[in-house]
Amino acid sequence: MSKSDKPTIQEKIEQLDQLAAWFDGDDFQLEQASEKLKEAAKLATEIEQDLNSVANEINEIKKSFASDNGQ
Amino acid sequence: MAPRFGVSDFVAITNQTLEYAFPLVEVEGEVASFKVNQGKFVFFDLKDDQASIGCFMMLFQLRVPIEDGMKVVVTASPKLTQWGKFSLTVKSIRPSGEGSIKKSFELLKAKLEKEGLFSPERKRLLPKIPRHIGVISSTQAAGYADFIKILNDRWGGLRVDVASVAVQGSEAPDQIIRALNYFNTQDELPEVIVLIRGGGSADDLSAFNDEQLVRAIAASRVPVLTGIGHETDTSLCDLAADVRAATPSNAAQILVPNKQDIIRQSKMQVQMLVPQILGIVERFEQKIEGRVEEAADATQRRLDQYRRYLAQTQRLLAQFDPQRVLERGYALVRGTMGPGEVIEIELARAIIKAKVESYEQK
Repeated sequence: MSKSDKPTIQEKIEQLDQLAAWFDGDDFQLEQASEKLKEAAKLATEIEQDLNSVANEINEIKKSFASDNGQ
Repeated sequence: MAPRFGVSDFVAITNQTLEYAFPLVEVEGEVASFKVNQGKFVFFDLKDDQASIGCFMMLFQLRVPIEDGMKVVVTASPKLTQWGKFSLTVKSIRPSGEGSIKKSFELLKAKLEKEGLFSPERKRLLPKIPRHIGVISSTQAAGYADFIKILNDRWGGLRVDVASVAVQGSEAPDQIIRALNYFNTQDELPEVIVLIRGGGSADDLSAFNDEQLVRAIAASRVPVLTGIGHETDTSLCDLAADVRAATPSNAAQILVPNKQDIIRQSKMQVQMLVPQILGIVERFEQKIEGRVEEAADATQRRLDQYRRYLAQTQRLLAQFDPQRVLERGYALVRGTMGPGEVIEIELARAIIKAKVESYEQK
């Protein structure tokens, strides 16, 4: 989990993978399937929204690399 | 009247004049009489078909392998020595011309390969989706713009720290090494360092064949991805890097997945779950049907078993029926057994009354 406790896109992708794997695994329970399906659909929507809304943060380092003591 | 100098003064003023006129010059020529003295001083002559100049430099300044006969460009300060000999004090040297660049490349490649710097065992995997990357490039270069454009098109939410450096010329290797050191000494290390430079001539890209730079890449704590030149260009930096991309754009493609693919894949994953659940329900139903059939079969088997038992018991009971015995020719005798008594004799088809004439125990 990220520092802010808000899952990152990658963490959400991993959660979705785990949910999909649950349907194939030994822990599968028919009673929980509907809830898990809703959860997976919500994650897929969030992943799409996150990917389409989040921009990259590009920072140019102020330090000069032209000489050893450049600041 | 001509000015008059002492010898030392004349040498000094000549050097001052040279320094003023040519503080730093680039001279191109062919290397001859190359030698290294005491493991630290390098001497050679630079010549063309009409002239020759002696050159001097320190061994640590020699960043690429040099041999006699190679065509090179030196960046140097002209100087008159106290013995009156004119020479060039070389700051940097780089091969010039396709043949020399190739020769120098092959010599250094062989040397570093022998040391294991390009060994596949040293290569590290890049993170699947990095969150923090360090980019070393010239922010003015087209290759950098291509890289950032593709990166932004493909993925979001990345922290991209950019060290802008010269990516060609004699200053480039040192600047790139400083940028590598910068990223490798941060409290928050990037997960990957990307070294970017668009296409150029062999001479333009020669900075990426600098021995110290190649060593710095191999020594980087953070995995390095290179995207230098075009697909056909392979520099020694590429060979030392953990992953080599064919171009700057390709570096962005390697670094992050395409978000459209991820969105499509996520939706597909969810869509696939519905038929999967239906399949599971169907399997459950089949299982239940199977159980019901098994129970019906077991009940039938038990009924059959009871029927067989009943029939067998009936057959057994029938054997004890007195009528059956009478049918076989026996008779039932009733009454008091003694002479003169009237007794009843029952046969299968008749009942007889008879008088006993005699009665004796057997």
